[in-house]
Amino acid sequence: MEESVPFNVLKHKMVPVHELLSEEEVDEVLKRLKVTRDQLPKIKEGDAAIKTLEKAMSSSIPEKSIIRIIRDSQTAEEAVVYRLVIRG
Amino acid sequence: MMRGVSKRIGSIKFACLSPEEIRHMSATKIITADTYNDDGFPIDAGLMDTHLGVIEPGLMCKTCGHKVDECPGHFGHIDLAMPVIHVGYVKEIKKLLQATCRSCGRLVLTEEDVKEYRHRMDVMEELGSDAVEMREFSKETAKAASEKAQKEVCPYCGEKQYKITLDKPTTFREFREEGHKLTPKEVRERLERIPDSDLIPLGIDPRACRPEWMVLTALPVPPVTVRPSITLESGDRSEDDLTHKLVDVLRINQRLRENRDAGAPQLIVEDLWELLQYHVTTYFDNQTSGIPPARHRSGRPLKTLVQRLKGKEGRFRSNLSGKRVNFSARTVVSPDPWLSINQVGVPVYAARELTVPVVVTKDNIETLKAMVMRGPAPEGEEYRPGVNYVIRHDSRRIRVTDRNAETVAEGIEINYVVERHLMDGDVVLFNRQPSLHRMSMMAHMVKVMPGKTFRLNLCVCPPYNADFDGDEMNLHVLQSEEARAEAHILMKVQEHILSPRFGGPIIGAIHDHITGTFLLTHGDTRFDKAQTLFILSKMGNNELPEPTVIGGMEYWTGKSLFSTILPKDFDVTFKSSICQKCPKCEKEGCKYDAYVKVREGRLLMGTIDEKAIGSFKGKILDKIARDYGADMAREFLDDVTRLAIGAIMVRGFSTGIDDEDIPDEAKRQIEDKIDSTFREVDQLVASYRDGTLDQMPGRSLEETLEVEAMRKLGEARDEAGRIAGKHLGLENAAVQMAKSGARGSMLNLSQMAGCIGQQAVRGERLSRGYWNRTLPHFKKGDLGAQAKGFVKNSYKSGLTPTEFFFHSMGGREGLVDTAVRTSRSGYMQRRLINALEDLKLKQDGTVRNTADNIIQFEYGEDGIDPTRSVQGEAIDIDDVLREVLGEHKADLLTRPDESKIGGYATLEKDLMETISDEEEEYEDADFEGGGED
Repeated sequence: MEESVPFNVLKHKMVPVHELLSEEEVDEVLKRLKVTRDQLPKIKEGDAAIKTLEKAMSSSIPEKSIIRIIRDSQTAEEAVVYRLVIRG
Repeated sequence: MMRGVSKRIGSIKFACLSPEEIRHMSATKIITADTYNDDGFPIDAGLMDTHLGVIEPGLMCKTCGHKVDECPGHFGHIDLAMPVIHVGYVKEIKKLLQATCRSCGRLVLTEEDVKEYRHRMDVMEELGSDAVEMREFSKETAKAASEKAQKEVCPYCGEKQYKITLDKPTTFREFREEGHKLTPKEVRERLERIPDSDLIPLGIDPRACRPEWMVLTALPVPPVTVRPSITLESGDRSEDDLTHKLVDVLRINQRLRENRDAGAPQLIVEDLWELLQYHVTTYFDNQTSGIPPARHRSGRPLKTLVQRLKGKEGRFRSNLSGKRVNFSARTVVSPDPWLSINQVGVPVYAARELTVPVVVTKDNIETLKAMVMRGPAPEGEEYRPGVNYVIRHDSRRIRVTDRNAETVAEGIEINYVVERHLMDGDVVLFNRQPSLHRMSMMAHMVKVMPGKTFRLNLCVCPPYNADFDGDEMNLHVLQSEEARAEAHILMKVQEHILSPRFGGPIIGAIHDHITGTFLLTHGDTRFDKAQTLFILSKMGNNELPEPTVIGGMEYWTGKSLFSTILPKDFDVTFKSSICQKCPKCEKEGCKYDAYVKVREGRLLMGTIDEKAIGSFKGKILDKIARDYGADMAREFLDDVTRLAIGAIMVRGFSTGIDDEDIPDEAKRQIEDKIDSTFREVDQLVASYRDGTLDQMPGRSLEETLEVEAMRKLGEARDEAGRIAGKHLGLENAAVQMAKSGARGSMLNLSQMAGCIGQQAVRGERLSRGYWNRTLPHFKKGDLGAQAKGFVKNSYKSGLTPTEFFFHSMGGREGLVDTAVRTSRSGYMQRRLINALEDLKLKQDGTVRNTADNIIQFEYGEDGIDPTRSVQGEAIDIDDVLREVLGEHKADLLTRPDESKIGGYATLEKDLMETISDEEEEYEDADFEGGGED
């Protein structure tokens, strides 16, 4: 599985952790934030991180999925953000 | 008075005007190009027809029956003889023509494709795409269709498609055989054929805008109130540019109609048609590229519709974003240390013009009557507010004059509004441009004073970035109770002592105040009773502290005097500005008196200088503002100001050129040092010439020489400064200012007393000017120190002509840099603000825009308000430990020397900015001879 990705950008130290949320997690997140999908920040399907994630999972990430990104933060140690996958 | 929002704007929809709508909203049809008849009255069906509203007093509008100022004006219309393309829509028209079939008007895409595109639009809408993204997508759709049309026949009627191009600005061509020209009429016919259902995937709502409406058959004529004519002193009428343009349109329209109806040759009709197109185009936009702008008789280009809206002087930026306001004042500012930081001194002249509306109630009616009785210009030594206007129940304004004051006062009833003069304690907003951060506009309390300038406390200079070399500031008087309440709670100066820029105090003591507290507290200062009373009398009712008695004499130490203004339970420990940064800190045993220790509100040791009370750095100030709140901090600052002024007045303080005097022996030493460095540089040059110079890694031989020479010369300057510095002790006034952080730096002093040093352009020694040399005073190819811009002299000893020239070169670079940097950072700031202006921190901690989309899931990722932070960190853990565990245990735990890693907005970084700013100001003064502002 690892070999199928020639260069895994997700492993680069500058690239934060990307995770695909499951249906239940999506419901939980949207409920907790009290938002609808359209109010979330976006990430394009063509984003290198999404494409690599798709290859690593060997399944496609459909539009409307939500990605959790956990990145290092200068202010808080760790910042969690959610992004909605859109076409493009 | 109406309060609150009764109607909220849900959305705004833009649509095109259909010819029917234009005619429907038209008050009259305009036919003749003439405006006024011989008697000077507007002609019917002319451009000044009174159906379109009135601009002259005495006339009545024929549409609504109102007079000037009551009639809002009404649109008319012109029926165009032939259709004409609207320049504003050429891009849309081009897109539509290229994407649709030339015979049946359908979108050149298969049913399935269209379905797919519409589905995609639905998904995008669901996922919250904004208008820009949607437009971008419909552009893609149109592009796909036009590409398909290039290759294939129409999938619906099988018609072959041709390439359509646009000849800027308004001519369309179809490449059937060598570019057939499409007339606006043909264009309009094609657009008419496009079915409603095919418009939606192209991003057009057919209910709001049918594409054929983009080709005009009727032209709306704006009301005369939009294009008023002006009567000159000579009695001649001068018409507005828009009217001139409409006259042109009408004239050509008339000729075109006559020629067409008379069956004139096709060529003539086409020429006139094109002329009409030109006039209508320039009527909309007189800067359309590809056609000459229409000009006035004098040769000045006409200002038509687009020109009225566009750019810095346009309606949006100048009149809507940049509205001018009433109840404001502007004048020069000057300092007044006896004012509180919360106050602003307003001259009587201004106070008598600026007014506050007061509603009459049964409780204040008598006071207000007395006020009105005084009239608009009460006399007397003491300032008492009068009244300029009284507003009655029917909202009629009555001007109060000396003559009618008494009668107006008699007639005052409950619920009248009285516009009284400004008086002490009123809340006003005070502002200095450029308004770069929120502290550029703060609320102050008025204090009416004689004179003609606004007065402010010196501690508020840093947030406004104000000085008193001619700076002017603006003042706005708040007119509603809500505004005053908001200003009071949110905008008062004392609420802004801590800055959100770096979580430290931005308001604090400057210049003489720092010198003052330095003189008061440094070392073992003693004041006798008279001096002590003089100092303490400056600050309200302070009790005389317990005197120290030595040898039967009562005296007070400077430290005990300073302690009187500290809160009673105040503890703090830090190193002051004069700290020598010894390798091993002696702490309590510091021989420079630089270790500040305050226990239970008593200054036990240390010197109070910039690190204690200064703006940006003040530790004591920071801690008081944080732990005791804004009121306490304001009191402290007001007291510090007065205490410092008192102290500096008792001691006396002055600096002059002789402060930079150094003994002849020191001068000789500096000379020797510089000369020996010159010789070393000469040796370097020699070794470079004969090739014995060791090349540095990664550098060419020339670069090696330059770097080495720069380093050596830099050392020489530092050494000169050090020698000079040895003779400039802390008893020297200039050194006191530099070391305590009041003004200037030791570098400035060493440049005055010792040696100015190497001048540089782009970080390199000076090299340009003549062929292979900087000036003709030197030999070609001379690489020595003095030939390449080293200034051996000091500002005090004076520069030689060549040195002066080099110094100017270095100075010029600084000036250019500042000019470039300010303009560029200004533009950057403008773009940043435009992008961020309507983001808002919501109750749940998220940052959202106006569409309620999330921008940040947690404000700043950590949810910390930087104003309340400690230099950007959420909490100061050392301070907390000390408070909880007590001093001794906490000392064991804390490691103050441990430097923080990273840190995005450290105080140091911000300080670097301010210091370099100050340095520049200093440099500028050399060249502009003081300069303005």
